[in-house]
Amino acid sequence: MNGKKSSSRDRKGLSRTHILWALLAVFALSPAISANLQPSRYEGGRVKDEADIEARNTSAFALILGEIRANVSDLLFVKTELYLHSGVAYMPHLDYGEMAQTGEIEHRPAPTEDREPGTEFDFERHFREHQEEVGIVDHDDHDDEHAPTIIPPARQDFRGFIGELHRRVKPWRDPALAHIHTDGRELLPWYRLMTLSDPHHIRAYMIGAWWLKAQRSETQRKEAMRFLDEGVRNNPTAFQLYLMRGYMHNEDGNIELARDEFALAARHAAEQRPSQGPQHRDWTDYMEDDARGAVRMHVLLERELRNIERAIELSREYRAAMGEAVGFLNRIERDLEAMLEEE
Amino acid sequence: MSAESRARIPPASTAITLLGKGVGIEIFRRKEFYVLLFLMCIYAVGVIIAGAVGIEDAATFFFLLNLGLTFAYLSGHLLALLTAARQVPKELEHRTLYPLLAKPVTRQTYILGKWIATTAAGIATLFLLALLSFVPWLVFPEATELSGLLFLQMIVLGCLSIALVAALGLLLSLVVPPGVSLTVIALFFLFWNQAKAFLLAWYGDGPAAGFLGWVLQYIPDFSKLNLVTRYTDGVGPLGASEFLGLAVYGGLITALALLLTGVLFERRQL
Repeated sequence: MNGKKSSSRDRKGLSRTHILWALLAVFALSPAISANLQPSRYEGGRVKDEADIEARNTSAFALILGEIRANVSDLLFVKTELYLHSGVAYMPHLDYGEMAQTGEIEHRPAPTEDREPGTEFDFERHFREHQEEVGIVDHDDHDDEHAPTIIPPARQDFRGFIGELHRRVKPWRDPALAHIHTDGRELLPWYRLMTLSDPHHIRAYMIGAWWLKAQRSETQRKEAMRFLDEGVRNNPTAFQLYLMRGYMHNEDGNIELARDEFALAARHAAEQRPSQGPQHRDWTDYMEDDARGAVRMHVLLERELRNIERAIELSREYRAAMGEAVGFLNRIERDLEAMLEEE
Repeated sequence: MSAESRARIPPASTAITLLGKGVGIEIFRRKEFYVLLFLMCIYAVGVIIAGAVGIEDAATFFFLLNLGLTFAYLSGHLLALLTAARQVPKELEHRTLYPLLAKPVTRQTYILGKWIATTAAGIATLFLLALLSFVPWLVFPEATELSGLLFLQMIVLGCLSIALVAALGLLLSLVVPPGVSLTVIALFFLFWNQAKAFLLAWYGDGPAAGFLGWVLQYIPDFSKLNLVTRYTDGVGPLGASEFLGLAVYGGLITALALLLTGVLFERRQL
């Protein structure tokens, strides 16, 4: 009887041990599958839809909840903008208080709007604007910029003493004076955190890479390229990141690599650009400018590599795909045809 | 053991039911559940007021729904974890475990009963609060672009996630004090996904990056089982294979944690 009982216990114990070992074995191999299970990684969705964001921000709940609605990466972004302006809150590139009042997701600059379709695209100006937008400037003081501040100056403030107190206790600078950019080196960890918090925060990749690159050391440039590579891995269709990689290769004199990056940027941009261009709710002026920059650089680098026929072919393709948005290609194409004839 | 005495041993299901009742009574005596319910009611009242003022668009509706579902999801997990982490330590401290185990209840049955009860409590909380989170629908019935299948997937994986939290809560409570186990699991529940991304990005280019990536997968990633944002984001349901993979992932770690808890508890000197 006792023998039977103990053998039954052994069998039980053995079977439980077997189950445990079997589960452990399966668990040991599980990363092969679990690494590929990423239900939270998907393209699109209401969270990222700018029209939906604007709709949410205009609701009464936006005012009640304030910054709680924003995700960590967006909050960090707002904080970095404040830091770059020495704590002075200028009218927004991205500001949740403003978003809640106006419903606008992004500060849209005027420069591209006053450009007639088909007229020459001022690449230098675009480039400078873009650098300034991301906080990269060669000079600290912007004589030509008088961005309005969130806290209004005394002449526009109806609050009298309260307004004066507000200006005294918060970082503030008269908008009539040129605004000052502080060094963004200390913000680099913030951009790192932003992209860790939201690997699809394309702008954080762009700005973080710019600041890294701006340190002008070889190590930092490599780090900037690695940061962009990571951004591309997480956002394979973000044409702005290819564009930035292209600029960096171009500066390094790697023309062929740069050409390839600009080609990818231009292809993705042409695919993504809606026919209405910046009039479409999902296509901002910055995206429009970046798309034009990618197209222009792709064609110009083909010319630089003496692939004149290919450059002409590309120019025609881009004009067919993007219409008047790339009207500047007309002149480039004429120059290219002239070069071809000379050859 | 004689046939007579064996006949007097109640089946395991009876012991589990009784243990479950005990856990249920304890939950109702404590205040956590009421606090969670109260907070959820504040949410519901807030939504009704917002409805009276007017939810103007679908985007606001989905935002509110996400807020409510996220809170329900977190509440279910929190309750399961709070309950699971203190079961064994509390019974040891109050010495109520000894008379219980003196009865014909095996240690495995005890652990299983506690796990089932805490999981059921978490799931019940999730269900109840998830129902309340649909209050925005009463005031904005126009929003119909939600996937029923994805909702089902979200609930199933949410229940699995609660079962996993409960099993890990019981397991850790055997080796560390309840406060520590609560904190550790809560931190992993909330931040492991980001921490893992940070570690991988930090060491992403290193020679052993692949190995590190593999090893990190062994730590349970609760974010894989959370489909709330996917649901309110209007993204389609998961494919059958992905859903099955996630269910197996959650089930496997839960079973392993439960078995280890059983083994540890059986070997423990009481």
